[in-house]
Amino acid sequence: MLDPSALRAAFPELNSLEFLAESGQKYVFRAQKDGRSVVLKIVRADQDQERIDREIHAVAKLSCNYVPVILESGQRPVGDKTWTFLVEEFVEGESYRAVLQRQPVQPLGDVLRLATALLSACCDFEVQQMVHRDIKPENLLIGPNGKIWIIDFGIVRLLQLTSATLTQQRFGLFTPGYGAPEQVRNLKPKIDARADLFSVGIVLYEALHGSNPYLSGKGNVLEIVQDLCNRDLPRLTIPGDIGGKLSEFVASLCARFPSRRPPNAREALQWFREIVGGLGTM
Amino acid sequence: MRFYLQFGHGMIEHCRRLLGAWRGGGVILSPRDLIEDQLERVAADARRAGAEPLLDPQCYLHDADHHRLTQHQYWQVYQARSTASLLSGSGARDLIRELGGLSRRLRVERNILPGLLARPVDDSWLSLHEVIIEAGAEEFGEDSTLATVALSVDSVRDEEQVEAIVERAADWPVAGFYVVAHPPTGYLVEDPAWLANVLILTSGLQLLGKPVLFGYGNHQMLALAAANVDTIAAGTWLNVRAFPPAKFYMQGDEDRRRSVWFYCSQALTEYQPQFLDMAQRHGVLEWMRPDPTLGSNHADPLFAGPPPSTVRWREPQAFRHYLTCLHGQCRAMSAGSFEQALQMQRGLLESAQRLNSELRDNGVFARTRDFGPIFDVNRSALIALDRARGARLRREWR
Repeated sequence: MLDPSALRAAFPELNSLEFLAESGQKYVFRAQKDGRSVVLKIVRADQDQERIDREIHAVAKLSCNYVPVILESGQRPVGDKTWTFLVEEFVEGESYRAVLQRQPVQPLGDVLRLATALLSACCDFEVQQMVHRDIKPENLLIGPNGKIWIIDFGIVRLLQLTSATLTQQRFGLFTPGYGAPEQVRNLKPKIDARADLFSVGIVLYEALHGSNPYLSGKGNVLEIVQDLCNRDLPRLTIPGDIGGKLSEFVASLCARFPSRRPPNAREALQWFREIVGGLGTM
Repeated sequence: MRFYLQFGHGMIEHCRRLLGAWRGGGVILSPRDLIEDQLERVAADARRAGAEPLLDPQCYLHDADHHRLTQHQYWQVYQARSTASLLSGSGARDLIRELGGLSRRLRVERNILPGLLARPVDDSWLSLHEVIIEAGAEEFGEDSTLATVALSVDSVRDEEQVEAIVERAADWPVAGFYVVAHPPTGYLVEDPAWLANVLILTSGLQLLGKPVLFGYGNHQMLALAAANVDTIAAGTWLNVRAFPPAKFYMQGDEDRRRSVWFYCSQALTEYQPQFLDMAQRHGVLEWMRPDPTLGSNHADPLFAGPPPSTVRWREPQAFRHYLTCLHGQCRAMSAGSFEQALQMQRGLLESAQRLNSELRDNGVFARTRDFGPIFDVNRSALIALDRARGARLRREWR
């Protein structure tokens, strides 16, 4: 754990440092800077520096309404070690996981709004030749006014750079139940925007169905991975879904093989907009 | 959907007459069955009839030894090159260069590139094909090459292998695809998973925006219209209506037993003339009269009055009747949308099954060429196609 006084000394421009969370890679604090709330992420010194730099590089150049802006990044000594840090815009919100725990089956209108946000964000990632690779309820924040945020670019892949995950590794980096099969199996050339579309599809499926079928009843990660790689999800029956078009779209997003999903994020968003237009709910 | 002739033994005259009658279409030439002079002659005849000649290099099996195939110069170059040499590029360029000479003499406009039978589709197979494709693009230009995708039974049945091809093919610099698939049985396929994967493969390739030509087909492959396939090809004998690796070896040289079959397109089933006699006896022969819109008068003698089995009606007429009907059925399968294509398939299967069943009730059986066990195979495969690709086909139908 970081020494609080050493941290305050290292970041004199930040006030009211408040510990928020600790995850596999980083410590996260809320703070005040120039009268506004910010998030300070301090990355563990033993973490993969290349991956950290990639996260920073990726998000810094991203222009997306659904991703908190990075205000500053760099390296500073804290105590006797040098740490990499990020200061980003603080976004108020509740994790979508908490929303689903409270109400496992979400209203259709809310799901459609979520889909619009996620697919639009995927389009923005695609323009920057970026793949988030970790879209899941835990990485989505819902603001008090319904604004949707996507956070945690910890395992982003930049398509024009050499991948940080070794090609020889049998499994890539993924969250069980949300990572696309090609991502799980580390099939490098196939990991493009369609991998994010898969994860979006799973999140939508979960919100409409009330649970993630790839996680339900599984005892371990291997069972989840085998199911996800070998079984297509059953088609949803969605009240209000005229002609089953939304159900068909969600099924397409969740297809095991990338070639069965929309060919890219732009097409997916366009397709979705046509469906929503037909539903007349938005 | 278009229909091309798949050249096989004894088809020179059939090609001339059928392509002349159709004023178009095409023929896929077979070096295994024709010497170079004959290839040139048949290609010229096709062009005169307004049809497209294509040359299938038939490089499926590197160790093939059929004497008619291996006597071609390009084949000798192919066999002299090791697999390592092909993979490195130099062997592939030598082969393509030799093939290019032949293609130019035949004046084909599109070039089917050599392709090995996949056993299985793996990185080596894909890499080898990409080397060949690159050499083909250098020799012929990207706009006139068709990549061959030749799959063994096991490769077809494996969804992973099929989808691996679709993924990689997105980056191939070719103008289209020539697909051949080894069936689990010699002719009509009773395995819905095999047919489903053929539909999934061909529709996946088609969604890349390039034409797909399916070779060594038959009337069961009318289902490929639902995959938006551009062209299917079929021939006379069974070894050009289903892909038979054995025919490229001397040992597998065909056993052409004499038997004549009448294709009843309305029932999707072939019958021997003796059973048409039974149809006549029970007053249902008229049900089997060819649909005039398909343009075949080759079976008219069977409906002229005398018992069909007593009429002089031999293989040539039977073959031309089959191919003419299939040509007409392919044309009729062209649909404006995926939904319409599915409806057409369902309608075809439903009406054919009804007639097939009514004929059976009247003692008219098809024996080894009965489509009875196949109707549900096609239905199942079409459902699998809809599940796998339906969403995209509905949006991106050409």
